[in-house]
Amino acid sequence: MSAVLRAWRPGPEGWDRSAAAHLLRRAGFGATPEELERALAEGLDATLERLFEDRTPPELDGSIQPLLAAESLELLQAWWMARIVAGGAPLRERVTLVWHDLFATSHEKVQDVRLMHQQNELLRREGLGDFRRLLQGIARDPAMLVWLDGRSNRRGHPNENFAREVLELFALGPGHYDERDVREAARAFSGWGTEGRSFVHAPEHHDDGPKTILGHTGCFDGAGALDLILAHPACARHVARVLLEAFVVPAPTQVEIDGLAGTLLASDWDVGRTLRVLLRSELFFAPRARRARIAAPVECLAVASRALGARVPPRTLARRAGAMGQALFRPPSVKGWEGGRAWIHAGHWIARHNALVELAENAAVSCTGAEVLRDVLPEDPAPLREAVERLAREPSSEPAAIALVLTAPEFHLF
Amino acid sequence: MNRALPLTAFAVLCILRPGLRGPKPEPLSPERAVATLMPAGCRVYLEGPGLEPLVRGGLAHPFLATARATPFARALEDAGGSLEQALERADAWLGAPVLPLAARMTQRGIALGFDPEHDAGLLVAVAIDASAAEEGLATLLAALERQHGVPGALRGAHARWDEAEVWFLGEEVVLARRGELLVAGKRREDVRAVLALAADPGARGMLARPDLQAQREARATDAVLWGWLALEELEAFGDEGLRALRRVGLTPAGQGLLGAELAALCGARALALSLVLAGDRPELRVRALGASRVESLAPGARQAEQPAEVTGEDLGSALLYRDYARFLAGRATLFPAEAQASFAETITTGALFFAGRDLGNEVLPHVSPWIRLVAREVEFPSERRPEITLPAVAAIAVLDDPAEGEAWRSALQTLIAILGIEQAQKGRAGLGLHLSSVGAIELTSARFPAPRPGEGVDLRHNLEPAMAIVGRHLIVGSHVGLVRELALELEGATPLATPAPEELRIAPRALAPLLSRNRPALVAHKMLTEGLAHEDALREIVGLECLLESLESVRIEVGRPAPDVHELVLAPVLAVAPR
Repeated sequence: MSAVLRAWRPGPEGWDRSAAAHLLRRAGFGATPEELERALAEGLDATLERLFEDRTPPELDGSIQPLLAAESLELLQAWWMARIVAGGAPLRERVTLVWHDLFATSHEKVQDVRLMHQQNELLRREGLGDFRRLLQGIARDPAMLVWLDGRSNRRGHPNENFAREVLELFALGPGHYDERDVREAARAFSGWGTEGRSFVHAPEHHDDGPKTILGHTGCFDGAGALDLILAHPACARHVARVLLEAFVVPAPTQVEIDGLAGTLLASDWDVGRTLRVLLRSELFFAPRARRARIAAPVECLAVASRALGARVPPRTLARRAGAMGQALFRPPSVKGWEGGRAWIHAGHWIARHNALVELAENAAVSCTGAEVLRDVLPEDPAPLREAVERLAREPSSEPAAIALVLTAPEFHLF
Repeated sequence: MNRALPLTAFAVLCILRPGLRGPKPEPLSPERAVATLMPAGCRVYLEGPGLEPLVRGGLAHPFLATARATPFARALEDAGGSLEQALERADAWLGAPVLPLAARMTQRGIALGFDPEHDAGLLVAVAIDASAAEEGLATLLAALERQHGVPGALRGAHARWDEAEVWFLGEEVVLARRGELLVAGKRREDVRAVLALAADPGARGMLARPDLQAQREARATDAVLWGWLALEELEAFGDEGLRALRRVGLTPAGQGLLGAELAALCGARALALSLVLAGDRPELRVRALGASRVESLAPGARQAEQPAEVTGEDLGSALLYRDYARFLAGRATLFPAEAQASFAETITTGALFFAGRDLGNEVLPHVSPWIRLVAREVEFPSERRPEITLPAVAAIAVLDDPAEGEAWRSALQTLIAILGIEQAQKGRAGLGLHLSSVGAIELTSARFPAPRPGEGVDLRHNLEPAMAIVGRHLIVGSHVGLVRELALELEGATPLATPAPEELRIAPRALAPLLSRNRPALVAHKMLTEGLAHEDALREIVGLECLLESLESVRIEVGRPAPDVHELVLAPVLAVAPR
């Protein structure tokens, strides 16, 4: 194993509220006060194991099924938000969101809620498993085939959209392929389309002639093209970069990327096993990894409402996330969400501020500003603590105290 | 009864000097109406002229007996105990039978007033005589003393205002007795105002409001409850919903949407409400005097036939008068100049659909303004049965000439073609046109292609728009199954020349199975949109189903029983559950 991923062995002082909150925030969507106390009591290993569990209540899991017929994207967004906030499967929901951002597909064009749900379930089902299965699955996913025009990719008239994005965005990254690879890969994917809401391979539309992709020549089909892409050394590094950016730091070093790519390959592309190493590493808990990312709207709202125990309808939370710039199932482009500073540009910041103040008002009966400060900002920034304490001395000021914590710049750094 | 009286209130009461007594007031004249004792500032007023038989009849009253036999009431009693038990508990708390006591304390009248400006309510009751009022109040106060463990604290009055004894029950309630008059209110000045009215034999109270007086004089003689709302004044304190309703009622567009009669009620200055019980059947009558309406859009303004009655089992039906021909013709005077452009656009677009004919001059004038709406469940073939089923809805109108129907057929076909192009641009299958017949009647319909097996049947498959022309009846519906049924029912029927009033009929009990079938979707919807836990959402939906099962039918009729009177009658019929 790479030295950069050396396991973190915290001493008695190391596994503190700040470390526990960091793990629960990054690998899941934060914690309720009870979950945070339990993590502190049980320690790192047990907390990590718990993150991998799936205890989503069956009635929530199945609640979208009878509603799919309503063809309402808003309800699908609400359902996913409900799963995230319920916290039954923290890491699984977290990786589902990571893959949704990587394999960004928008209902704006797909216009079929069942297909969006189907893709979401694919990301959830395969998200912690073998990345090769996930990539092969997403290439055959009907929503993706609609989104990147796979349906019109036919022998003699190749549509390059999917081939280009799988090389540039999904699996390799720029600099590792050329235009010929795009054209030839597109020929390999020809004939993959949809019939109704199902994937179909139409041999009559498939170009079965010889192709040269990434230096290899043969009569490759879509699966064969993906195997060549996965075999390219840049692929594991690309996936490692995605995982590091999502879970650790916005700009990982090449050494860190190479180290995690090695772990991914050593685990036979198993994302779950790779994350187990990453989330247990010194790198993950290093000071430079903490509070290193600007919170995305969905995680910001989920972390806040879980910490506050606020009972906000999932549809409302999903709407607020949309207003803050992250409408689930509607990423702005195939590149996903821009993230980073884009989350807090002026328009989004106002929506973010309003949503958090609303949450604070909703939650003020169940907790105090001091409790929220302790749980969501255990680093305990002194000026903020003093301001919260000052506010708490005034009558009926709890909503303001909670809002002060949630709108503090420190809270928005995850 | 107020069980939530703060203990701190009693602590204050205990130190007050009890036992203030003074001269007896003159009894109120037996002719004195309870409305004269309520200050005219109240904007909401309710009195119970026919409550006494209900109170004396108790649980044996036919209405209560039927209401208690409904599935909803039974479910409530199963969950929270029977009414008999509740009454026994109340008797035990009071230390005397509640109903006879209440009957004596309110025998000469009971009224409630509310003023949203001060968020303050007032209760005025006139007992059979002063001793009944005194005894009843003493019993009530003694019960409150026992409940809060402060014996003797309320034995005597805390203050004396002229000829009235006054008690202060904490910050929230002021209680006063003046002879046979009992008053309870939130604000001292309101209670004082009632006592001042009582002391003045010539005082008019709420009757000083001419509108209320006129409405009260015209009220049903058998009303159990009678209420009055100063709608125009309430608008300033009401929520956005009330303001929106008033706006709708006062605008021509609103009158076009709601109909002239209903819009007149919404826009009225004040409304009077009477609740009448005929045996076990309640009827609520809502009346407005002298409300304004657009005469040219009102029922009867254009002599026209009504669609014939249909004979099938409906989930709901309505007979409406909506004269969109005159609505369009009068647009220049009904609407401001800035609205005219959108009318021109509507008429131009309409011409595209109606084979170039002018909507205002050549299409709508040939259609009767009387429209019958029908909602029913329809059968779906298994391969296109939607996972969420909705009732189908159809509109029936009368044409001057059956040949006029061809323009409507053309419009439907054009609409479907345009929608098809729009769907095709998105890479989706649109509605396909179908022609069929039932007997000699041609049906034009459209439907989405059946989904592949196992891929789910979406909500949109509830829509199979269709139309038929049966004699002079034009039928347009959301589903071909319903249009076919109605076509068969109307075959050979002639339009009705005798106008019946506008009405809406709903069969809630028949709607309950529809809810029950869609229960998983409704529960999930509540979970996601309201944030309810599964068991709470399920309880609410099952409760709603139970409520619907408790109503056999609801009829709402809107009309004008006299030239300056607008009236809405709401008549539910309860459904008794089999034991």
